[in-house]
Amino acid sequence: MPATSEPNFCQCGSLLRPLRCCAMDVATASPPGSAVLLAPQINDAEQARAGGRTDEAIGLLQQILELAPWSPAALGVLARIHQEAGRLAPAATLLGRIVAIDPNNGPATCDAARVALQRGDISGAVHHARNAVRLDPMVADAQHLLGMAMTEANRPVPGELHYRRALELADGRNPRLLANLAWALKAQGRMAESRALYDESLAAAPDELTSLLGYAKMEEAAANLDRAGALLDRAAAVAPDAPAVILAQAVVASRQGAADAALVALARMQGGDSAGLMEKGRLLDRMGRHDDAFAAWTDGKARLREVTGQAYLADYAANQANRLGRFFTDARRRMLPTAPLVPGPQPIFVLGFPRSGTTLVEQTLTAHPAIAAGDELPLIHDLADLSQQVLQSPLGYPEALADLWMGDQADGLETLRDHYLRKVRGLGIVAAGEAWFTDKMPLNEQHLGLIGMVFPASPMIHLIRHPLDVVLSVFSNELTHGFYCAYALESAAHHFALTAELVGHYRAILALRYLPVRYEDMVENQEATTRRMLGFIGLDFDPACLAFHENRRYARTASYAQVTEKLYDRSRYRYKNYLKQLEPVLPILEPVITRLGYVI
Amino acid sequence: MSDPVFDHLAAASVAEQEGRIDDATRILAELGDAINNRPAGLHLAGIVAARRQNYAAARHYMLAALDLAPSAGMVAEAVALIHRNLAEVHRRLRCPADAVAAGRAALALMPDDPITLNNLGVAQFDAHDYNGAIASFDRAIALTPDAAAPHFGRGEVLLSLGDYDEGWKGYGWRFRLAGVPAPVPAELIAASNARAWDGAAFDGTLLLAADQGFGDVVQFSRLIPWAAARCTRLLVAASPEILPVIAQFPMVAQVDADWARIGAFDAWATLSDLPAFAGVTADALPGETIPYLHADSARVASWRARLDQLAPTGLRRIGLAWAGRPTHPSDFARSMKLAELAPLAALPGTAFVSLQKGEAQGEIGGYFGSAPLINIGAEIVSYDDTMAVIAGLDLVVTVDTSVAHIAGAMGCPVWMLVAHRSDWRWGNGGGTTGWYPSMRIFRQNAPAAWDGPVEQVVSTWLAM
Repeated sequence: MPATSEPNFCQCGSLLRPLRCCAMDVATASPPGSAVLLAPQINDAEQARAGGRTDEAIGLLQQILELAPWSPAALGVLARIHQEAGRLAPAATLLGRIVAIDPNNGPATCDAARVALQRGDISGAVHHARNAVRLDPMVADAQHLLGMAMTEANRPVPGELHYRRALELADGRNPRLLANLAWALKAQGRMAESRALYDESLAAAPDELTSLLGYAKMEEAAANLDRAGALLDRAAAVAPDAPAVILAQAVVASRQGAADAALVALARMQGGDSAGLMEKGRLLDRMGRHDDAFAAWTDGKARLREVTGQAYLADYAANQANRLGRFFTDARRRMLPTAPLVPGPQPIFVLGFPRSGTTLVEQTLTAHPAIAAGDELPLIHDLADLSQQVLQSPLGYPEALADLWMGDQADGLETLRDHYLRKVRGLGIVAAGEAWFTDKMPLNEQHLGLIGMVFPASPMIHLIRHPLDVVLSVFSNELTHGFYCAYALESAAHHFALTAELVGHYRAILALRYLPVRYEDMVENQEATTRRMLGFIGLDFDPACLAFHENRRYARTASYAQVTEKLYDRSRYRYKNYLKQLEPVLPILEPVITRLGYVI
Repeated sequence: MSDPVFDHLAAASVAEQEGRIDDATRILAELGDAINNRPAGLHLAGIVAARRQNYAAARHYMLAALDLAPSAGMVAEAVALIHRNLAEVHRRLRCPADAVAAGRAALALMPDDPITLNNLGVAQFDAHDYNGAIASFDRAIALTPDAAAPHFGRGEVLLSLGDYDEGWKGYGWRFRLAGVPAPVPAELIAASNARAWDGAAFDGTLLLAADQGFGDVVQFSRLIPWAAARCTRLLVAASPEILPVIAQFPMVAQVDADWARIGAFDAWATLSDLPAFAGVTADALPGETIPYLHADSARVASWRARLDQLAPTGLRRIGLAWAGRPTHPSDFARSMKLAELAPLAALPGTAFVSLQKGEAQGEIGGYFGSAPLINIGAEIVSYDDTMAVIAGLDLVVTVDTSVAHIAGAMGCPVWMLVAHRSDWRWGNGGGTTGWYPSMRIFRQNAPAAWDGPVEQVVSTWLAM
């Protein structure tokens, strides 16, 4: 096939010249259908693609797109070729171009959502899938995609709704769709219903790999490791060399304490995807093979960047932090209103960088009978996004909050507050008798100012952990939080420092109900730290909180396996094993390490 | 033959004396190592560093200059000047013993230099050598009877020792100190044809200027009723920030921050004159006037509600203020860093309520103690707010700043941490003060050592 790195080609990887790709001006676009005369050639290209003659197809498409660079049909075939080859970034670019010039193109919109999902671009997936449903709500594929996008965006309740609509629209009860619905139910902690759907899916299609894998992961999350192992045995019989199967087997073996067996399983994984490499690294880490572990993580992250085409959005992150810092100033603070308290369950914000111990704290707190688990609620981000619209401001967030000073927008904060609480009610996470619920969306601390305005009486519990441990842990896991900062060691460190500085700024100029809690204190002195947190919330101590590992609630995040174990200190000061590898980020993190009261 | 290094040093010296510190710094930087063999250059570098408040560097340069001085053949007067400046640098670094030694070294070379004697007296006062300080000030006064600094320094020492009768006399020289503005503009006095008040009762309008820092105003405002009883009509001129304090005295006919709006008056005085006029002595401090400041009840309720939002009601609330106005001449000694209060942060069942304002408020961003610290200072706009917040607290822990005086004047429990050589009003020892019966004083055992009083605060609180 043609080289993707030929200098004449566009940097996006499309295999087209820049002037026929990303350097084009959308104003020059021809209307959809204007390339009708080229339909036979496009059909030839499609035939070549379908016949596996990819080079021939690409050659044809390059010629066609020279003549008709905006042809949705030709762009669609080229996007499909990239997608099939795992080149998701150019596929996403080309599909984005199609829907930009032809917003009514339902199939391309669905494909754009699908590719975004594959790339881990969840907000892009939600965007395209919503459009697909808007175009035609009777299309099962569109509903299915929106269900997946919503579920991946930590909104399994609306995700379930769209899956069920897809089921209504589809011919029969599609086993894969059933498995996806089961996954959304699992994400809500409705394990029994999830189990029933997986059983139904497998009854209809016993060898459906998606169902077997999802079912096994559900059981693994529910700590039914033997059952998970049995399901994976069935999956291995279907696809013995599938990396996802091998990886899942390794995870289960690892959780069963059989690290060696897990490594043996991983050794069978040829190449492997980024998730496999990351898991391999974590297993090696547990075995004390730190150099090998770090090498696996480095490979995993490289693979992740390659496949997704994503990298830390450094400029965007810095710009946002700068805008927040410039909006929330000492001089302006006096003019910032706060929303009044309304009766009903109130949020507890468990803040922190990913991998700083927020899941541990949430599991601890939600073992208390007065506290429901909200998990990672994307709602504060929603409020930030909504603020411009709600306040009818010409400015974006955070500058839109300036419109609260307008006489006709004085109730804007209440609208934002009510939106948040309404969405929480819709999620059905709070049971009778629970006065509080947690929201542990990582990096919500970048919105401390907004939270303090909308929920001035809500406790903010901020997890502090040795920055080197956090950055190492972020690097050893697949996370998209923080503008993809976890995709490289340096960017994770940069984003950590950026966020810490912003938090320091907020705390210096705002009166907040804020309690810093060190992860290390949770490990060293669990009861005292738990009492301190509950005291800060205003609740009496409950011994159940110390047995958080018995909290059968399923935590969705990367930490779930750890929080179903008793408190352990394996992760405390783990960075000491990796000082050599962490050397490049020491200059970035040293000031914040000192500021947070740690040493190297 | 011209000496370019000398020319540069001369230019840097002129820049320093004219207050162009950036220029002086730049010129010295251009000289680089060329000053290293010139004691005058090193001395100048030390002076410039001190002007930039980099006292550690200043000490380094000045000690290097002194090392080099003998071999360079420096004249005695020039060496004495280095010692004299070094004394102040040591004092700023909170090393009073070294400051005294440097002062003595300067004095050995210039025995009749009144500035050296004054600086030595100040260093001796810091080192708790009260008799030595008085002797130095007395010698300086004998040499230059009209110089204000030794009079004022002597007054402060005597006040510290509880000799208020003599102390007030020296304290009265404060408006003649270099750089201190007149408490009431001369043209205003002339326009009213007013006289300086001596404390005697008279028929006419008295203008009191609320001078000194905000803490002084709070402390001495208790004597406003005393002054009002000795005139027909009382006016008070005060900074806008402190007006809420003065406004608590209904006998004041007019209080204003704008001289232009102050009406005609027959006599004038300053608020800080009143203790001397009223014959306040160390044995009879006017503590019985407490409380003379009161928080507005509606405001108290509003702030209590806000605090209830920010900290659970089950925790005891301790207000904190750890720094005063940075421009105060003794701020380097009386203010601390929030981080130095770390042992307090481990107190169980406690929430800290920051009353801190100004630049030091920024330190809250770096606080990660166990007890929550509520930055209510960020929302405090006036002393009315400060009083209302304090009214809702279990205790205030503060350094020697206006917050201490406010809490004391309200009769609220306040624990004050003071420097090794505290301000005159807190005496030279003891844990209580007649000025504020609700106040406990925790003193440094050594210069700059906050750990002692902080530990004492912790143990006292835990023992309660």
